[in-house]
Amino acid sequence: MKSGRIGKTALLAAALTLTASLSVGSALAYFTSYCTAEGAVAMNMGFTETEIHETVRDGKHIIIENTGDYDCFVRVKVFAPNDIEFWSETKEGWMKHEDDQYWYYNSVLAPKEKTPELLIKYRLTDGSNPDEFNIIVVYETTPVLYDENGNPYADWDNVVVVDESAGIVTEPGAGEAADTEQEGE
Amino acid sequence: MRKKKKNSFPVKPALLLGAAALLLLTSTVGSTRAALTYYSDNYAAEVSMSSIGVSLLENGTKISSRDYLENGEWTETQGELLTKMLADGGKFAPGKAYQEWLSVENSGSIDSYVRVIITKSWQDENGNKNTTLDPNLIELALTSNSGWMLYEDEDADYSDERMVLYYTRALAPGQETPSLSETIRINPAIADDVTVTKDDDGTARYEYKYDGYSFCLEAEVDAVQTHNAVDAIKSAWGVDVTVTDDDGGTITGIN
Repeated sequence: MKSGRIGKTALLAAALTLTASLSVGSALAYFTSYCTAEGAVAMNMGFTETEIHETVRDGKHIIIENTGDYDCFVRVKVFAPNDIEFWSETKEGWMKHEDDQYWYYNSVLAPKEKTPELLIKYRLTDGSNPDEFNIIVVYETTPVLYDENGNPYADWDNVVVVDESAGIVTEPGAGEAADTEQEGE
Repeated sequence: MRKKKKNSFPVKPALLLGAAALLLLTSTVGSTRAALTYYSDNYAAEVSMSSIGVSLLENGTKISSRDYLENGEWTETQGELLTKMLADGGKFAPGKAYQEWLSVENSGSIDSYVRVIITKSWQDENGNKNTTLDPNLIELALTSNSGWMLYEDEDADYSDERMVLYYTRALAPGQETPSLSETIRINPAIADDVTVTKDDDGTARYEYKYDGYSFCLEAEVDAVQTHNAVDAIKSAWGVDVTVTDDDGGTITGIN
């Protein structure tokens, strides 16, 4: 009896194998082909570091240097007492926006590059010559963004919002770091 | 009285074994006969002379291919995508749309239907996939009215990173499809994800979340014969299609 069971089992297995092999043969009857490819591009994003070089000689001579590893945009604002008027005669590379009173460097400031000099001149509105006064220069940088055509632009309204408890910035519109330095005379 | 020695030859198992052998033998013959019946003269001629092949093109350049030969062997090439996206020394600019024309060429000798499976993902510096980063930020702009049909699988939970596009028309040997995509870009919202850490002296350091990661684009091209298209596509790709009865045999629906 035992050997009979084994024989039946063997027959059943043989039949199943045969059936399965017939099905595989049917599937392989169709012509198919395939090919694949993949590729990857690394992101190179970061906040750069900058320094201001400032000298005083018949005005303030301001140069911003990108000492970091990433491109950035730069702008400068000057603050002075009410009785002092100031202006710039610099033509190369800088442009003053009257709406916000910032001087904007027109180009992307690449790593290890310096802006052309921005010369700020000043005088008392009544023409007198005071012994001491303060003029404050503030400059800001922001990362370079690109539109769909690849044109670089700055988003000066995009300010980093820091969640001190979590140490993570997740607010919409976050993503900009503004370096600020002040120099006085 | 001596007891007569019992015959020890196992008759029953022997019969079973014989029956099994006979069954196996007739099954094989049956299979062969079925194959011979199935393959008509025309079909046999097609088998001996036809071969299927398919190639993936990026911006008009052949990247990868697999073309079968008449003897069942195949030749294949394996290339890499996105290698010419940047000029020498150029930096990738998030937000900028880069040209990315992906198309398929029938490099075989029989008509075929083709589909492309696109997979988008993020990888770390070691090439390991990072599933916590958002594949939706990798934007592959598809063409419209080009004959490509995006198959929306509502049940799939991987639809953010994977999409399947079917070219609805039969592709003749040597013919190339229109591009299925126009551009690729990284959404500038990527700049919104910033983490900040503070040094011991209190200096804050800002870092982009995606800095150092790579966006990855994978394309798999599948081709199947147009003969007996519905069954062939079901068998090869696992989907049910409806195909028009005209000569071109346009795919009008996918389920």
